[in-house]
Amino acid sequence: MPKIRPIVQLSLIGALVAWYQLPVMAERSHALTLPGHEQLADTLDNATATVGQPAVALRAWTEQSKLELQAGLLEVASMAPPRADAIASPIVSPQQALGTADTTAVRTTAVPAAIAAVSASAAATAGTPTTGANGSTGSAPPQSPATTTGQAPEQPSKVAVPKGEKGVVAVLAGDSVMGEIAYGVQRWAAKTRSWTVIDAHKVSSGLSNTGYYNWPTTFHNLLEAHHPDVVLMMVGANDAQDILENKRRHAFGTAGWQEVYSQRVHTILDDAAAHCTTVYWHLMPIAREPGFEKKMALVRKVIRDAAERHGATVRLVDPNERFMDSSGRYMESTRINGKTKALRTDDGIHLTVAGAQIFVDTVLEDAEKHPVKKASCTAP
Amino acid sequence: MLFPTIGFTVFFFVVLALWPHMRTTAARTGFLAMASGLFCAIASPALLVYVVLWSGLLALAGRCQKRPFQVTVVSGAILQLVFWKAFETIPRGLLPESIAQWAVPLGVSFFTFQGLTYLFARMKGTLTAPWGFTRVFAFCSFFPTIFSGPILRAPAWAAQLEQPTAPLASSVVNKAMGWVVLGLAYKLVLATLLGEIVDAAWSDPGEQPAATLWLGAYAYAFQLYADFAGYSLLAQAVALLLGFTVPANFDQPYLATSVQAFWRRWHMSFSSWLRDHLYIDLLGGNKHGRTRQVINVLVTFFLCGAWHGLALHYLIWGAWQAVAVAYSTVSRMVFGESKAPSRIKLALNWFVAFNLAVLGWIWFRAPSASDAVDYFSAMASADWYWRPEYLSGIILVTLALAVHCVEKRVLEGTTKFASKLSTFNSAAFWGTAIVLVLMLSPAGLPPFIYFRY
Repeated sequence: MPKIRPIVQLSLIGALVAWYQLPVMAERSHALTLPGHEQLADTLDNATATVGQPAVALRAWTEQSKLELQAGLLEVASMAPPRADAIASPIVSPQQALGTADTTAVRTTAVPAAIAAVSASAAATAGTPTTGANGSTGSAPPQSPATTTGQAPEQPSKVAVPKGEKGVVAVLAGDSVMGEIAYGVQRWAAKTRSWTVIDAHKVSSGLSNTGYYNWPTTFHNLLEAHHPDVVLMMVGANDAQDILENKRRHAFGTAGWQEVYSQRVHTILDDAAAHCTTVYWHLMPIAREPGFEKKMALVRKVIRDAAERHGATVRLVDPNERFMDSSGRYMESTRINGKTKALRTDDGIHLTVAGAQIFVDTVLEDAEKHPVKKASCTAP
Repeated sequence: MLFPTIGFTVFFFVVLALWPHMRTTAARTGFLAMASGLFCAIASPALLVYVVLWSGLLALAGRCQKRPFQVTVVSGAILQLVFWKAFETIPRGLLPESIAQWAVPLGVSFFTFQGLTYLFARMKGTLTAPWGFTRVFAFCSFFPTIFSGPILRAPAWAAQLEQPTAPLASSVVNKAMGWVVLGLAYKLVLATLLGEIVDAAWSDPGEQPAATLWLGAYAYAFQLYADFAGYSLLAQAVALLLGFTVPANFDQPYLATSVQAFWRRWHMSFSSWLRDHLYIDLLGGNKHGRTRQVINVLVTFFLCGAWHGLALHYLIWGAWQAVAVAYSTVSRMVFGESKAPSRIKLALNWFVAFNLAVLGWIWFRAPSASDAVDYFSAMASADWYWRPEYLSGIILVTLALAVHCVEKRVLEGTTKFASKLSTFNSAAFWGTAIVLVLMLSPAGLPPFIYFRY
């Protein structure tokens, strides 16, 4: 006869793990096609709603803690003393970016006064220009952006500010997708010793959940701390969620949600205009999952409408055609320099190095075409 | 049906509940064959047919005892492996549409190698009596090990099958749970998190700064270990709960102070299979002089590389290991082996062996040889600068090395600790440990790396 102790032991372990897995089992049971699966799904749903509630709360708490830990690690990293090679490159850490370090020193060493900037040039341009790409297809080489002229370069060091011409202060703001673009800009800046790049992206951030990260406030602090010539902004991937404002919940996609979201975009752009700063607002590239892409399309629309109503100090970067095939569908990879390069990571949302480079090229080309000194800004 | 899934847990608990009621060897054999057959069929009905055919052939070859027929079966088994390896390498567009749709049987090399140990044992006379089809099938399809090993030896497995079913003991549960917790932590947490660093480094190696690539190389070494060792620990635990002790696959390989020692500690069930059946039985090992020994080492590792795939980068990886082991063998022959090397020398040896393994894995991980060359070139570039993300990567890799160093002691310690607890407390201890691992793990279950081999 089997001994009772190990059986009790295994059963208790199984029960504890099953309790923690209840929400997952309940969710998956709905997708089953076995006989009686509906009853099973109902039972699991009921169990989750009763004894499984602590597990649901525990899971939510864990996810939040992991995000905070990740963000904390990045902040700790940014406080580390710079390496010799990092000192030589004009990259500023997020900690400095938020004004808690000696940002004055960064500006005075990296920004000679009379050097051309890209920024308020856009103010002279009527309306909101969109910096995008024309229809490239699966294996076709990328074509020139719609509002810029010339070839789309594959080596960003060949365009924009020539080597050694320092002076543009650029803040990179947004979520983890911006982080991927930031990497391309940093690389280019480090190679060309040109822009002073302040990477202030924040993973998992967006405009919907200001309780987690308040971009309008942070954006203002960044402008005050660095007086940047240009801000590269991208949010959206984390914004397909309800907005809670003044104790009122606006469900994602509703008119109320769109109004609040649009207002937040306006707040940022007004602030930028007041500081004579051009914003290159990157629109999220097409997502692989159709359901998620539908939500992203709405976010893109709200941002686009807000930017177009706003005015000239914002330039929309929408190279989406380079992320779609000839039928307008999500494109996994493309050919660059005769090699097939993946554009997106496995999740179908984030960008690979090659994918991010498309955004970087588009911005740098546009910045080269419209460089105007900051002095031309007429904002108060 | 992967181990860390709800489906497998349900399947396994049913098997575990029925197992003690199988009182005779025949009942245990039949029950294992049924359970493993079901396990295969759930993975793929075609896989079940394939394993049935392979088992039938083995049972026939084991019974007829005619050397030419047995040699033909062994050669055929190796040829079918070569076929599948070539099939994986050839672009699908070059194959006729009907063939291009085929799928490589999951775990084909594992159940082939495992099955061959039965035939080798019969050919050598280690197993005096032939097995019936059911037992051969139960052995080849043994569900804890069929997909990724550890590769079992037929005589050792049969000896355990013939033992009367012992009642499940608390000590066994504690030992198995230690392996389960460590295996899940390795696979679900460490391998998944390290995989993010690795994927980022490999997303476009030519465009990455050198620091990202170095970090990616070290991260991959530990990702591969955590992924495979994690799976092996789970397999060991599942088998142990059924009363089978399967051989360990890893013994802290990154602590080895030579390349040979590394291969005595890495994927041990496979490396010992190659040593016993290829290096010694077929090639003659060190019986035919030193030159022949070095050639045998080179051939064995080259074939080890080829087993992972017939692509150039795998062959180079095999050659990389072969040259490193051959160099080490020759230097030992020439200079002899120091009996009590100093700590500095040991540290230096460890550093060289560890980094040879890490750099070798770049060939292994690369999608192609040219990608590996790009990776090495970019690693050697002067493109260095600090990114905040490196800190978490460095912490993670350091943590992986630290865990690697202490895993044996931690396993022993926790198992000992749990054995002193009451039934309820030890269950709470292991249950909480598993839930903690699940809490720390990112969503989703990435595929096991070694399933493709």
